[in-house]
Amino acid sequence: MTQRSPSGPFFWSCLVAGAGIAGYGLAGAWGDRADTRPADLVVWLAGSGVAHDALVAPALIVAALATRWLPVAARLPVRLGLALSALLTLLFWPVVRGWGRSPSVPSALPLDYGRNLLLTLAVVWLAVGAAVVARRRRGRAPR
Amino acid sequence: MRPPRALEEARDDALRRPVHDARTAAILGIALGVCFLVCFLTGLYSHLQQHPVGWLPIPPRPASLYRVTQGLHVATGFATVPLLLAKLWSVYPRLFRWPPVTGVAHALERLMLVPLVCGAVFLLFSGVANVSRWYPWGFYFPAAHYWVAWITVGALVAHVGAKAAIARAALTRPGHPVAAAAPGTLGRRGFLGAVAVAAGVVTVTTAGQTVAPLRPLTLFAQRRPDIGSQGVPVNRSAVQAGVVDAAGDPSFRLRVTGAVNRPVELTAGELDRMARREAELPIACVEGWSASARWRGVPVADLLAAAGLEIDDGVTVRVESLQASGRYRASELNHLQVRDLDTMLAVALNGERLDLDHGFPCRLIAPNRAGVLQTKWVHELVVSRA
Repeated sequence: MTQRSPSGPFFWSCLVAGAGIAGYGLAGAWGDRADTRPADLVVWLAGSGVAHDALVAPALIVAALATRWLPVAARLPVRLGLALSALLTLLFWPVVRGWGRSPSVPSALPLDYGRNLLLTLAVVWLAVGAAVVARRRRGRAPR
Repeated sequence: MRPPRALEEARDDALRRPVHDARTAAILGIALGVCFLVCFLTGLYSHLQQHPVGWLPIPPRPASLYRVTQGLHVATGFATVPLLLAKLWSVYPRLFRWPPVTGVAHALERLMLVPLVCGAVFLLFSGVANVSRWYPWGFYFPAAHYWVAWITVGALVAHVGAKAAIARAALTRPGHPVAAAAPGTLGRRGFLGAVAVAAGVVTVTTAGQTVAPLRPLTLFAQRRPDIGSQGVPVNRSAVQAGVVDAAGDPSFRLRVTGAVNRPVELTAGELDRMARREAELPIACVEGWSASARWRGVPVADLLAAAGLEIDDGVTVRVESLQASGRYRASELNHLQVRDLDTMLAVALNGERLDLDHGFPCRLIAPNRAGVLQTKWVHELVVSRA
């Protein structure tokens, strides 16, 4: 695969400026360490990168491999449906579980998010079903 | 140590697909850059409100500026989640490049990817958790979110420097040759379209917490602007703030003190009789929700006039709550805000006497101000002059 080493005055200017800005953030985080708790923050920061690279992306590959056996007409809609379902579930899991609810603040997290998630997923999978039927009917292999 | 051959083959195979090519990465990168810029600037604005600097006093107008910027901050942040995942997916095979680096410049470029990826994922994760009121960590969210934003934006600037030429080439090259998508996989347009649909679904189901026409579709909003005591949401209740006894005490007095010519002391009843000014003002949270309400109260400027004070550019007013502790027990009004007659101590909300959870006996409400700075259960205005 092709590799290109970056070069030129624009690259170096941006690198210096970017390192300066990031350095300001690092210094600020350290200066504010009573609040930022660097030892804790580093764990969550590194964990964020690892969670994506070692869990989310491989999970996507596994899902892609696991859906290879599906008929061609269904493959793409099902994969998209899975991706959207996973995204919505991941994003709204904290409110579905209601971890932030407090009895003394009833106006925070006031909805039935579990029911709403199921409703949304039902709409997503109805759309997936409709797409599969439509692609079948067209009777030709989709692009 | 080379990676296993199967991994190399999978990587090279993936890189021939349009969803992993430079053009897709460039388009997603630009969209992501715009979203991060919007989030960064609106976040910076909120930080300036909460940590005021003397040389840039926050003006009270336009009254809805804060609600718009913070609604934008949170809506953009949510929509960025599918965008970031798509972008990382498009470049994921490049994580397994071999050899990992080809020189000093390349090593520095890849090194800056660490804060970029970790910071971007962290900002979105922590932001989503915060608006869900879920705090599984030990640090103080606003401080960590704010400083990591600087680190991430710095890494982003360096990344733009490294990738601008490649992105420009990928976007301008006419008829860029790409392998057709295999059956059951996506072409570039399909992939970008799917990302747009995902971002749209996320936005439509959450933006109703501040955009009224979308309210019926508000399936996942952490607030509904019409749900709460007196039809307005609450972030901190009187019970949580520990002010139930103090706020209900009949010996309550509002005091205007500090650099005044004659101190003012008013009972709740007197304050109520003085409260003639009405204004429709939003209460807007940094967490993205906002609600408009009709407030009735006494302009802070009138209270300062009663204390024999003329408002010049050197005047600042510290608004003190009955709360004994808490980061937001007091807030500061600059001279521009004090002069605005809609900056007032409200005693009524939507035509009813202020509820205890909304700050009874009186609370600050002022145009273009962060919700956490609209101090509740106010008992003292301390004037200082430069």
